[in-house]
Amino acid sequence: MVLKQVDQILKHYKYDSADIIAILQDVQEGHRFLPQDVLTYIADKVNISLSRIYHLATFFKAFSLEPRGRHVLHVCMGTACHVRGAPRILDAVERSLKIKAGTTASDMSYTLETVNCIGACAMGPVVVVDGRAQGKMNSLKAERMLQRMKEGEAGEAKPVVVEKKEAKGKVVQRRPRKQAAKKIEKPHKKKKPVAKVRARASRTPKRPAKRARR
Amino acid sequence: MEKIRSLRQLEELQRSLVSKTDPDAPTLTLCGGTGCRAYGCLEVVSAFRQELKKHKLSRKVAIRTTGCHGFCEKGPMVLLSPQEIFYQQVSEADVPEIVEKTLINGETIDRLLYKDPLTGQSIVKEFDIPFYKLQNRLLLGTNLVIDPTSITDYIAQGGYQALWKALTSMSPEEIINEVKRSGLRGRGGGGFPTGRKWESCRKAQAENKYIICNADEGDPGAYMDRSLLEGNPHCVIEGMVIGGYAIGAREGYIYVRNEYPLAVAHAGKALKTARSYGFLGHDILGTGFSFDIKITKGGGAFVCGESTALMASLEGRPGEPRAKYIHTAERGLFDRPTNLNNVETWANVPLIILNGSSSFAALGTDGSKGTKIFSLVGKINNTGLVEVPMGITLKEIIFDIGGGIPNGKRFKAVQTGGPSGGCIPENLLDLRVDFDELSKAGSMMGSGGMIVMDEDNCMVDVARYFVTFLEEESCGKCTPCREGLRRMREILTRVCEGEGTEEDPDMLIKIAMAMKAGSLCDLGRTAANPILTTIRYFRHEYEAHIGQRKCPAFVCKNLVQYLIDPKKCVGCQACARVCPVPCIKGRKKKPHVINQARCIHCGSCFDACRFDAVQRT
Repeated sequence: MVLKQVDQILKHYKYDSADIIAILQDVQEGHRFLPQDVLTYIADKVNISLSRIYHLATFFKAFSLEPRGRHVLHVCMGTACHVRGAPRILDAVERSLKIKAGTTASDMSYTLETVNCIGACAMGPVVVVDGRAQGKMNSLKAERMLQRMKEGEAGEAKPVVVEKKEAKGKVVQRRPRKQAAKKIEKPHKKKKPVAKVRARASRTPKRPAKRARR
Repeated sequence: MEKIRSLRQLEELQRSLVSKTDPDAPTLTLCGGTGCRAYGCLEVVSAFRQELKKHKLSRKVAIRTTGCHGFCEKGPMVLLSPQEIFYQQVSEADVPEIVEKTLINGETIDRLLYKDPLTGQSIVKEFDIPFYKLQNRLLLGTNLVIDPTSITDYIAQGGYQALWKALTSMSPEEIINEVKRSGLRGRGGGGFPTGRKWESCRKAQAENKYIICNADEGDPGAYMDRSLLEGNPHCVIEGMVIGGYAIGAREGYIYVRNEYPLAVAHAGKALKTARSYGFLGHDILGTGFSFDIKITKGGGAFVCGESTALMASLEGRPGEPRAKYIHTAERGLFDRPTNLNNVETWANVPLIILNGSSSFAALGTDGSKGTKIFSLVGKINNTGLVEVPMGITLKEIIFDIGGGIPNGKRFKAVQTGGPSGGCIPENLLDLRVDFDELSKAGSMMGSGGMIVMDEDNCMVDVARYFVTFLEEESCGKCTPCREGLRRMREILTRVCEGEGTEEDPDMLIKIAMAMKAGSLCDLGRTAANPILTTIRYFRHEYEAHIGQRKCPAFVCKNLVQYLIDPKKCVGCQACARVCPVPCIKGRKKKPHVINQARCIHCGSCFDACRFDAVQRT
């Protein structure tokens, strides 16, 4: 972020030190983290100490002092997701990405964070991938989704479609059919719209597969 | 827009809005709350737009995107009026069929209707569904009929008439007395009588006073404030203006949680339009009273839900609470008298003013009046927001409205009040839900989160979860909270890992008592509630972890062993494929074996096995 943009933000808030949190939020939004030189600049302009800005930047969870990866994953650790098995999903994601929650991979590909609740409890456990909520997760589904994301890292990140089938009251995840996998791999074939993929992935397991109806 | 300056103008506007809308005109109402958006309801909306265009129906059929309906389990939801057909779990693929069959040919599509899980019968109308039928939706009901971005929808429903009544025919004292008589208590958790709070702020002498709406809903698993603010922001604004008039304030703030962008957007838009209609800003409704509201985003700190911490954050300081020997009603935000109430409390105010305190007080119990919105989540069939009169039993909420526990599992506990609340066991399910009864059981009302747990949840792990959460969220200013939580987390982690000692539960109680007595704010004072209630009602689970080194619910990783039953294993290799270590060996179509020395207890094999061959001990 160039300092010009910071100036605009500061002007918008009339250099008022009471609005410092809002100023930092706007800077973070534009840059996805708070660079040190920008913080020094703001401290000088708003006329408050750098230590107070650091106090705020480290106190509030919304702020990050480190640059973040190309993809940001938020594993919801709210109570509703916790009782539905969120810790195991976080374990699986950490294992798969080989990074701990709250850190960024060294190649800047992924940032893994936890969030205290996104309020989509009916879909729990939820993993938010680049702002899009993926619901009804389990560790297998999460691992496969990440596998697919890693494969597609060169292009766009895309959540995996996993077929669901209910067996003996237990939800069982099946691998995508070979044909379906092939379709996605072929670059010349028209890709499925992401929205459709999402609608399918978030369907509750209680409903029978939609395919029969089409 | 010309500003409204008389009751006649307001009533005429309402009448013209009502007469303009034809009740028999076909309308599609879709829930556009954050929960349904995560399901992809916006894609369904655009699919409807395209499909209607295709059939040249765009002008005949109106589409309305509303706030949260509350039945989040079944989103995205579509309501077709005037037939009142309710379709649930609608996807884009269903849209052409709905338009063709229902809108054009008038047939109902059976597979999209809600099926009663008990009788298996399809239910056509939304309010015939048991989930809605048993509720009393004074606040949430409006969410279903208004577009939150349109002020005219709210006015058509009689909006801002309470404001008119308050400003023109009631004195501030009369308003406060009316609120006092209604018995309204703070919905944010404390349950302090709202009228008394207003009165002490009114009495405080100062040039400038402030009103704050606390929408920093930090309790994980609770989202009723968000749904109100994003589904019906005008009723919160109306309540705040009435409050500002009663107290004598000229400025107000809405402090919204950072994670609620839609609520910020809707509330921001509502403030703008309310100003243009003259319901907010200078010289409101021509009465000479001026009041304005600013919206502020929180920085993502749970402790900012505490009033003094929230005020510190509004002033641009870190959200650390202060001791309250001087009340915020005397010296709050910027050292001026300040009145802070929760979103739901503010939303109740217009109802009380318009319908009178007696109609509000007619609902509820002796000590707790009106309705309360709960967010019913966790291991429950009908996840969603339920609005019920105070005094209803937990059993009615969980089993009659919530539809019980999924997959035929057994109910174990319900956690109320967020991280400061407690876990209530099965034998107390007949407890009547109000502020005082829940406190007696060792829990609290809190903001209204209700997390249901079944036999697969370990209560020691749940206690550890809340303590870890609070340890991270504690601001660290006072020692009992900062150190107490850390020590409690260490002890609970030890217990969960099978290294607990027999003295541990009593030590936890001792630390809890010290924290209750010595902490600066309610975060620390109530932090021990999850531990105290789990020890009180589920001591046997602590004893199993400590004495037998077993986790009865198979949650605590170190105390669970996974084994493959050779009689059941068919050798399909599903478990070996998913094992991340990998530590499962075996030839195709021959029983497999888990190498216990390398197993990391992740449970992937248990999830993958379709023959129940992987067993936990």
